[in-house]
Order: sequence, then C-alpha cells, then structure tokens
Amino acid sequence: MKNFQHISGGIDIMPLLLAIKRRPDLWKEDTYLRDYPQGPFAQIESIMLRFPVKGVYETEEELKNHQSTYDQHENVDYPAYRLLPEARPLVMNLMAYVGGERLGRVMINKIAPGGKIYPHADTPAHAEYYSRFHIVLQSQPGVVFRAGDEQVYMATGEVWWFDNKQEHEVINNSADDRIHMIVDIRTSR
Amino acid sequence: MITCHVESFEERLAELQALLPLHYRELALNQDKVPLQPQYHAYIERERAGGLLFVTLRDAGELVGYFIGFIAPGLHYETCLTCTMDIFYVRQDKRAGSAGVRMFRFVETELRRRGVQRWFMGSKIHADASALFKRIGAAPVETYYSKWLGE
Repeated sequence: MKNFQHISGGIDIMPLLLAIKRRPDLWKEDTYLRDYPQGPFAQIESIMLRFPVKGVYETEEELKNHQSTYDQHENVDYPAYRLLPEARPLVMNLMAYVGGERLGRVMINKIAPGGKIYPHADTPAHAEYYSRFHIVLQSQPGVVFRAGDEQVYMATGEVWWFDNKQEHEVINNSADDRIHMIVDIRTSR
Repeated sequence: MITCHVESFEERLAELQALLPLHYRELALNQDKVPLQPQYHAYIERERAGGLLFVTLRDAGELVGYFIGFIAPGLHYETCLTCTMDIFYVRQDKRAGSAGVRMFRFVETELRRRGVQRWFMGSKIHADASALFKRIGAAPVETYYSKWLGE
C-alpha cells in the first residue's frame, strides 16, 4: 500500500472513548467543519482539540495585516483538549513514536451510520507540511476508507498514517458510529 | 446501502461461517455425500502468505456477500500473475439491483491494483452466473466436468 501505513494496534483508547461518551455536549461545541460552505464534512461531528485560531476581520486592512503575519501551520490548544486529558498521552506517545517536530491539528471526528465524508483532497500546502495520522477510537466492519485507488479497514485501537494529498473519502456503512482522532504531525524529512 | 471491502479472511471468519451454510445449501454438489467442512487453516495460511483475496459485501455493517480468490503466478505461466476464483456468494435477499456486478467490478479494481494479469472465474451449470461474468467483460474459455466416484 502506498497511500496507507498501519503503524500500530492494540492501543488502549478506552479511557478517551469513555470520556467522550460521558461528554456528548462536546460534539456540539464547534461546528466549523460541518458548516464549512460546500465542504466535504457536512455529515460529521467534530471535537476540536487543536486547530488554528479562527478570526473574523472587519476591514481589508485588518485582513491584510493578519495575512502578512499569519503562520497557517500554527495550531493552538482548544478548550476541549483540557476537558479531555485522556487524549494527550495518545497524542504525545504518537509524537514521540514518529519523531514529531511540531504538533498540528488534533480533532476527533464522528460519522454516524450511513454518513459520508465526500471525496476531497486536503489543501496541498497543509498536506505537504504535516503528516496525517489516525487513531481509531471506534469502528466496525463496513467502514470504507479510500485514498486514491486503495481502501483499508482501520480497526478500533489501531494507528495509521495516510496520504491526505490523495483524493480520499469515508463511507460509514457499519452499524455504529465511526470515531477517529486525527493528528497532524510535522515529521523530519 | 451496499458497500464492498477488502478484508482479512482470518479476522472475519466467524462472520463468514454464518453465511457459508446458506451458500452450501444453495449451490454445493453431492450434498448427501459431501458435508461442508472447509479447511480454514489452509485459507489462513494462504492469506498470511499474501495469496488470498477476500472481498466482502456489507449492508449496514452486516456481511451479505463475499468473493474469495487465490492469487499466484500461474503454475504453467510463471510470468503471469493469476487470480483463480474460489467461491463467491450474494445472499438471496440482496440480489435485486446490481450488488453482484458491483462486487465483481470492485474485485477487478483490486486485482488490477495488485498487478494481476489474468482472472479465472467459474459458473455452475445449475446456478448459471454467465450473465454476470459477461457483463464485466469476461469470456467463457473452458467447460468443467464432474463425475462422482465415491461410494
């Protein structure tokens, strides 16, 4: 496989999964991805743990000033990261394992049965800078995860890398929610 | 919704075992003399050696069909990577529509990805799947005969 790499299995994800199930309100805190106009994520719910600072600029000058100093790869901790401390060791252990130099976005995505992430490729500059990893918190057979001409099943407790520069899509044709934690890590190259 | 998946035979064996008796009752020959008794260990060994393709058909997570093929260089044709179909099945209540065609097209995509050059598939006389095979562009090349020699 060229677009997917299985890294590890048997990870103890249960503390984080349990914490998420006990805090269902967190899925409603941030709907940025779901509401993104004509985006591919209309059918998913997300918990943002780390993400770029989102801002609204009233004037052209403010926007220009922002863009002149903006580092698009900079991410900050969101409140949910503190509310879900069970996520941190999973993220940091992965950082250490892959020799990470910089931690990017961290988010937990949920796709309900029958839901889809529509085919898309991630922003080239972002996908080129960061490597994308998936920690599988909950999944059952019937989930399609395709990147380019390859398709894999990622089981609960597994960790995978995949090439998000390729066109990719997810279809949850299983009987349960598919919940993944997505971690972007800048690795040596 | 019906979707196709490449999965692990070894990991999904328990699910497969629930469908095999349906498949056997509908299609197997000489059922009064030959019980269903697959050599699962042989399949698992072939899969571990990279020589087995197990494609599943699922509806809301439930296994409703499968294709199993063996992939290896031809015994007479070492330069020709060949897939020889072992069995395929689509549960009777899922045959309306094009589930079988979709599964075989998915298998073809996966075989091409793996560099397979030739694909053999067989059709029972008493349960003819020729229309399916012709629809995916395959052509008949051989007729297979059977004669019962046991007691």
